[in-house]
Amino acid sequence: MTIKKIVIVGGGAVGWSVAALLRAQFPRELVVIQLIEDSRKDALSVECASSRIHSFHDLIGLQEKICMLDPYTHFGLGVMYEGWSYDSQKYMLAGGYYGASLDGVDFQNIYIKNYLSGEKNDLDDFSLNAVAAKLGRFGHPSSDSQSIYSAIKYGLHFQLDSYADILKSHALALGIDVIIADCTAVSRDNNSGNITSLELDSQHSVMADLYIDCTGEASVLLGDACGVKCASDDMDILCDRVAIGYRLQSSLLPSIAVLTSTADGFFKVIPLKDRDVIVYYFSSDLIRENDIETMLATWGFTHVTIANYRSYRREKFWVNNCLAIGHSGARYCDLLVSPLQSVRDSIVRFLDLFIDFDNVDASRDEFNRLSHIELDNINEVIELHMYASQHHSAVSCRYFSSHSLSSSSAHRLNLFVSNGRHTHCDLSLLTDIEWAAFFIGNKIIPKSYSYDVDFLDGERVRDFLSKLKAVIFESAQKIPKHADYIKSLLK
Amino acid sequence: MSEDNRIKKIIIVGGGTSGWMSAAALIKLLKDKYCEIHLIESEDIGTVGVGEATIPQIQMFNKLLDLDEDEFVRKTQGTFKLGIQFVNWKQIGQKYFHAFGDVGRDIESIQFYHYWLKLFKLGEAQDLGEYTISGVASDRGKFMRPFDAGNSPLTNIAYAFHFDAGLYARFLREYSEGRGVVRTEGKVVSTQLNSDSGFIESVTLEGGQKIEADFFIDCSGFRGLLIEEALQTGYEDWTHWLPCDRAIAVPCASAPYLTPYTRSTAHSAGWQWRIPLQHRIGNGHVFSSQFMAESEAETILLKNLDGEPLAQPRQLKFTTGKRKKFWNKNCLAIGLASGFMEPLESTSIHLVQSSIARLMTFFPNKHFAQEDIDEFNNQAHFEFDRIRDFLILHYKVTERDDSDFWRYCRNMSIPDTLTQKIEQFKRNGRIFRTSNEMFSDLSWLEVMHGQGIRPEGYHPLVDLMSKEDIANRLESVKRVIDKSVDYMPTHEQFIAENCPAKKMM
Repeated sequence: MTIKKIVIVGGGAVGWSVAALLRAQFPRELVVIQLIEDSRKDALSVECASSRIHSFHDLIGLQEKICMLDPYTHFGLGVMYEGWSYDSQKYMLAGGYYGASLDGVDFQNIYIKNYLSGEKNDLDDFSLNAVAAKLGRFGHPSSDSQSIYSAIKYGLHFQLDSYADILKSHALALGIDVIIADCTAVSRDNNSGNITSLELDSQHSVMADLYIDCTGEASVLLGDACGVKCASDDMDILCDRVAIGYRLQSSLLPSIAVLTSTADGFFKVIPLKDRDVIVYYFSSDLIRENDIETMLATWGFTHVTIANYRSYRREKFWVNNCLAIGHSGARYCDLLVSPLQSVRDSIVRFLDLFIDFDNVDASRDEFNRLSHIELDNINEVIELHMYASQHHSAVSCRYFSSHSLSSSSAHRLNLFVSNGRHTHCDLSLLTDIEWAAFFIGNKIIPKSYSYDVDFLDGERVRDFLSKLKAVIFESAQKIPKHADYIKSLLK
Repeated sequence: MSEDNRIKKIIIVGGGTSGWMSAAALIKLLKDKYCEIHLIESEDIGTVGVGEATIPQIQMFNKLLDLDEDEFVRKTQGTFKLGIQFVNWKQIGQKYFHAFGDVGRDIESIQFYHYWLKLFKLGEAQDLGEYTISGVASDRGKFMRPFDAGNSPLTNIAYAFHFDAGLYARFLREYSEGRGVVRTEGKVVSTQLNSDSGFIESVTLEGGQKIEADFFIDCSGFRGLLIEEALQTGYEDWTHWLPCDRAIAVPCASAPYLTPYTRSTAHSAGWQWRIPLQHRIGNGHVFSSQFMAESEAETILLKNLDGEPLAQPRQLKFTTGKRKKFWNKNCLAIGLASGFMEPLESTSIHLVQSSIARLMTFFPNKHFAQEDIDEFNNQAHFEFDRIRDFLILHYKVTERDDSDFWRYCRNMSIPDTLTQKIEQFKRNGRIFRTSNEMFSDLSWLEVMHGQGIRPEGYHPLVDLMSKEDIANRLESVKRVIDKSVDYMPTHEQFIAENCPAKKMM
């Protein structure tokens, strides 16, 4: 077998994520992998990853210990929605289980029947994750599947440049070749459309069997050179700016990201070890950039940078021998689905589908198809969140004055509203119970519930729910305090 | 508030396997107090059910009903099934086995079959069936239920059943009536619809009795008494993809050995099933009337029996396809009323069972939320379409060129979803199980390989392991399976010790 070569253009957390995974998975004696680290700056600043990041780190062999030694990296315990759809709102979207079933009757239905009968329990109280987070507790999940603590789910928060450095040293240790240069020209074969070589400003030229475009919005290979256009975007959230800033905070506070919708946009505050980072998407015709800066300053955020933002996706993400990962292929509002989650999913998908360099047609078509499904799913999450906030946010309200809910979002919503049911879809981003937590947290309550709840005696259900709450609360109190746990880990 | 919305009465129209399976599951899950469950059937109308073969998912249904498995096997003349043997499908004289359960053992999180593909290409691996416990046990006529044997393949024996569908329906009828299902003898002659909503309000029986209900389950078979004749839901015809439209069925005397598998033998314009029961064998010839006369089909069937025929051959006509909606207004079609696919992969009972499971997930109240009905139909269409693709695969991918029928099948156009699956496998040996698809990647692998597709590539990481190491692993998998099968009793022994049925004839 001849030796093949993959060139990744663009560094940053995206490029180095790709590099690390490919180097960890392709046999070194068969495939050379080179990364051309360009001077472009990443548009991203912070990564707020859910627990799904761990399987990616396992694949590349990156230990959590290494990540936690970084001065910024923090555990993430979930997302708190504050004032998303009404002022006093406060609920958590935490991973993991909610409650437990009784006599084979699913918890969500038990909860809803009880809610409709007038006993409006807080759904958060049935999630060990949410209760522990609110109490400022944290510990790693137990590996004993019988233990209640095995249900703990946590993610990781990173400062992006710093995370890129972690990934870079890891990828270099795995044996990636790196060239520091900017790409100045791309040559293509007129017949096949394949990229044949890249000219670099270091006077080099490089050739490869597969080129991976991680050049961000510039989309140097896929967009510029291969001419793949942006598809008309159906999910423009009508924000055209994103402001990013940070404020230092004491240290080692519990790590819950907070998501809020305001009159003029949406923002998320993401805690790192020594600071909070704010990412604020807003519409410049509703609020001026100066006013945003002033507002963030009154909240204590400094070093504010404001950049233009638009959401888009290209018609294809992989054409000929050129594959785009990250913003070079698509960009979406990343408050609800973390920016690097779809990057990680894309590379894993590429590896799942790829088999050899000479036969890529089938893999390519499937890759494009699945990537579009994934983006549709992301749009659905964003759209339904905006739907929930439409009476609270001018941006959402304006969106729905010119758009109606997409048919898939409307179906999901109606299915839940009528009887508390969920639809099946490929590559689903949220589990059924997470969707339920989202709807219920925004006071979207089903009118009815599954038939089998009626078999349970009402008294028994109330007793069951109050015991469940008590057990979860007691168990959460036994988890170490977040600050103590981190100090002991770092020792 | 829920009290008012509750469905108070359900009518199932039609007995037979699907009617009584529905009745049994509903009475078990809704208990006798939730609502009334009525089943209307007529002894004058025969059921289509012959010898019926199943897939392992049926164990979940049995578990749901809390059935005693031995009693169930005994009362239905049942036997055990480890897979399906396909004869003459790729070419005349060739055989392959679609085994239930695992194939080999995954190595370094890469599926076993990629390693096997590499060695098979080099001519250094045995047939795929040799690396499955079901395949090897079938070959040697052995069977036992799995038990906790640690890492041994004996822990994971996947199995299903063959049984007499008429006896199964009788068995479930006893079960249902004992728990409160009300059976009414009679023929439905007309259906009354609400003039505004178009919902079914009642059915009228021969003799004039009118029975009302909130919800109707149509198990009336091909004709679709409610779903089609009353509601005119429409039918999607798949004959251009699955051209068989007739079957002739006949039981015959048992052979000396009780094979623990179903056999499907391809003929020149269709195929023949062979389903062993405890004291006879069910046989049937499924064929295309466009390519073969009925008399010729009958001659072929009778020539290919393992014992003397025990009854007059029975003819069946069908149109392969599905109802455009399975659930329309307040009527749900289950079984043949919902659609028909030939029993090539023993999916009929499974489709009944999964319709029931899906009904319970979307169980309606009096409002009949349209979103629920839409979601039910989406999921059901998906399931039907994927099984359809899997069946078409058997016809499309063949080397047979000995009749117009096979030439037609080789050249016919097929659904895009299937083309994509075949192409993917051809190029790189990969099979992706679409979400919730019933047949696993291993089933697809066994049939695609059995029908003669040879992938160009396999997983690249397989090359990290030396050929000798892979050969050793394969050899050890094979050795462990052989040893495990040594331990198993024969199929006859197992049945004699656990669940022998009385001879009926």
